[in-house]
Amino acid sequence: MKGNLVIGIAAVALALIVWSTLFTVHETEYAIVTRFGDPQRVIDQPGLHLKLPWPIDSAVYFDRRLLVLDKPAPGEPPKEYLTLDKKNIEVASYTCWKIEDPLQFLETVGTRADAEAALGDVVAAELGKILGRNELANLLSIETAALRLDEIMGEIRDTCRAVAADEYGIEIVDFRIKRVNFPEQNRASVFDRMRAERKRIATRYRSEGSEEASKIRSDADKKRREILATATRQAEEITGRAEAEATRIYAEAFGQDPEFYEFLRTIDSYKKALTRETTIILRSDSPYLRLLNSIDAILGPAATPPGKAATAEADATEGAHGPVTE
Amino acid sequence: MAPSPNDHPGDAPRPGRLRRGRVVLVALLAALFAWVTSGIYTVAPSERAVVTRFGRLAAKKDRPGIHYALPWPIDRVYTPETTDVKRIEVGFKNLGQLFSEPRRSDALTGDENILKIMMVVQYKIRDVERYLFRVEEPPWLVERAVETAMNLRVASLPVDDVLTDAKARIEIDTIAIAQGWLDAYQAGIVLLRGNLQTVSPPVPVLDAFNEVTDAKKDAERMIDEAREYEGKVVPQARGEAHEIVKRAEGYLNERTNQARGEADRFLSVLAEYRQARDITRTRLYVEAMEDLLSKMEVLISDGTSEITIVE
Repeated sequence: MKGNLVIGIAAVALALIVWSTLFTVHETEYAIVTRFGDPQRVIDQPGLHLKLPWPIDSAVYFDRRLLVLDKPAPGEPPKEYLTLDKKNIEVASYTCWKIEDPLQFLETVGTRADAEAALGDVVAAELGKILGRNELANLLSIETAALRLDEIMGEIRDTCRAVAADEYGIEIVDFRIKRVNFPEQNRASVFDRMRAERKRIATRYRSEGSEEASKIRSDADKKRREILATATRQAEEITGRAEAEATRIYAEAFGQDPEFYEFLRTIDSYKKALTRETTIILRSDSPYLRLLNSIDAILGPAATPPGKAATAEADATEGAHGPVTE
Repeated sequence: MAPSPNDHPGDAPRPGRLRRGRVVLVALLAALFAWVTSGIYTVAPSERAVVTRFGRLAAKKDRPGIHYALPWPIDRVYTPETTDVKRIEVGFKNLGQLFSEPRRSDALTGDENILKIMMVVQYKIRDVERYLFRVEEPPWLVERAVETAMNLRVASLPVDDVLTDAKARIEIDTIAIAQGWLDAYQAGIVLLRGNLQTVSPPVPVLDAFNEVTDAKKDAERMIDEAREYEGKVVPQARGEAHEIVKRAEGYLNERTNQARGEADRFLSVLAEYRQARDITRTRLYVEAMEDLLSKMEVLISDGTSEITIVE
């Protein structure tokens, strides 16, 4: 029984030792085999590998994937930088990096947290240096010529890449400025400037609108006047034609006997000019009263009152007979 | 101590021991069976399967259906969804998102205005191997790259463009730039499209921006009113013009007819007159005088006194 137990324990121990000589390296990892803590070899091929059993050899794993470092890290206060034109800005960036030389990485920084702290410092220092040589307009500008954001990011990436490769066995794959912000205490003045700018634009829109509107209105008025003037001219032409035509017709007709026309027209004009309210004084020797005068001559020179006109007429009739009888 | 069956293989096993041994055997077989069958896996039509053996990429399965891989710890199966379109919010107010930062993320425009911008990005896995093994956290990278590209694009545009007609351009450029970076990172991701969901000035200056919109509307209204005036006044003038011309034409007609009438009357009188000149003349004169004098007050003077007309 005791022998059984010993054999059993020995078997299990043996199995464990054999098991501990095997280790797997994943696609996403590097492994470093260390003998009593001393790095022996780097394994960068994924798969099943052999080592001396525990506790002699052990395997340390490192991520070989692309890793992302945010600066500032989540929860970290933003870092301010000063540009060449003395403007305070907050810059947020990210850095893509990976472990290029696991051995060097293990010997210098060892863990990801330490590596990121070291990288963060390098990035921040480089960012400060390069931003200090550039104006804000090189980061933000509507002039494409002034905008140097790509070059700035490239410069920082290249410098950090050299440092990280030399010192930590890290490859910097990319460095990007995610965001540029104004610090909290500067925002109020930025907002004031934005408001003033908006006000100016609003005023410009309104005055441009009213300018355009009055242009349209005065154009319309001008058009209206032109149309009416043309029409009036046309109308006057027509009126003139009417007068000319009338004159021609009159001349043609009246020209046949101008003297008779004058006579007729005069009579007509009397009819028109002399109305009911008119009092007319006729000379007793006017041609119209010629007959009346001859009656006077018959009856004697006394003026006949209107009331006795009938009598006078009767007398005249009698008188008329007179000469016949006389 | 009783000798065990193992010590004495020749002995007949006791019934109790036999039963226990069987139970153990059955249990072992069942465990073995379970272990072996744990390697069975299925691939849905939306998925691709990637198998690693001892950590090394061993097989890729594109066909949906049932497959077999060696059980743990030998093989490991990954089945990411490759046709599934994933969605991520980038930029402002993505505080609830898994990988984003818990602080405000404003964008600055080329003319140094602060804007809140949020883009929704749709993406898909293009290369499962890269997606699974080359990059630590692909969605995280997508968010970083897109936000950076978006801010980079906005940093070159004036605020008015960003708020109005440059949106489509920003969306397209952002996706193109970010895609270039993601390819360089070997993220195995394809960006499908970006939609700018929020583009808005910050709350403290919102009124001022609305004021500009109002001013624009006012200007449009003023112009519309002027056009309306134009649309009213010009046809009205055309109508008036037409009336003026027609009135003149009417006058032309009237005047010539009047003239003709008068001329005709004259000619007929003239014809009559020519027949008997003196008589007609006298008749016309006397008729006229009769007509006239019957209507008027007539004074007859002797021709020696002065004639005074009193109105």
